[in-house]
Amino acid sequence: MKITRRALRVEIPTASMADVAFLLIIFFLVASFYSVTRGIQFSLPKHDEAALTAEPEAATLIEIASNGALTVDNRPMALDEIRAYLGPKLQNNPTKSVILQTSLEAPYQAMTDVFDELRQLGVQNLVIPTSTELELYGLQNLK
Amino acid sequence: MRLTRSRRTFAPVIPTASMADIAFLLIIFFMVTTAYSLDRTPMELPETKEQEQTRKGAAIISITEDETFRFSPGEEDTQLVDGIGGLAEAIREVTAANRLHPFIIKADRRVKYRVIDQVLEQLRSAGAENVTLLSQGEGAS
Repeated sequence: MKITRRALRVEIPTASMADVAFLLIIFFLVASFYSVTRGIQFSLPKHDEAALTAEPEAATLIEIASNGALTVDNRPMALDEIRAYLGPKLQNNPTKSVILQTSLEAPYQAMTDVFDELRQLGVQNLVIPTSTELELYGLQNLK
Repeated sequence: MRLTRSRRTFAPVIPTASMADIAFLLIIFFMVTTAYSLDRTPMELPETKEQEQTRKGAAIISITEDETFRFSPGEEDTQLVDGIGGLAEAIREVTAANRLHPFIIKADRRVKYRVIDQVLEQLRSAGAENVTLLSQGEGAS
């Protein structure tokens, strides 16, 4: 009697491969939504004596009080008025220095609000003096 | 001649062979584009309209509302540091190796500016130059 060998078809089961792959996709999708990786960048300059000791006409001084109230060049101003005030000055002189001085008791959000507005205006020379720098140049911390 | 319909039936099959290929391509895309958060401390970030992508591998300084500092040099998860003194030491270690190493300040929006001022002071004295204030887009909360 002749014995015939039945050839077995070799197969790699791939049916569950897509399931595993889609699970991984969902994982990476969710992981990417949860990571916050955006913000406002700025360069910390070296101790910028020139900007801090500049003549009042050369630099605009923005002060943020502890309650969040703004004073721009010694004039009380609302956040949305800064654009109208600074815009023409920046058009005349795009490299105009702006000094942003925040009261130590003010909330961080008050500072980022103004910083954001200045960034949108395209201020190139923004100086954020620290309290030690203010002391160094004889300026006073805001109340 | 009478035509007879073939009685052979075809089993309906959805071709799934290429499904895995597409899925793996998508996986690779998400793996490459996903930047894992090194700091998962829950906090309310300040809202800004202007936003830029932070650099990969930047050191993270995390400040919660109760003024707790956490720090990561950029590769591992953030670790608790001992006040502003501990943070200053950690910052110096990073800038000693590379002065141009980028830093991210991830601070709660309710934190007093005094704390941010102290951190900026330490960054400046350590010679750091590139700083990003982490924020969330307006309307994101």
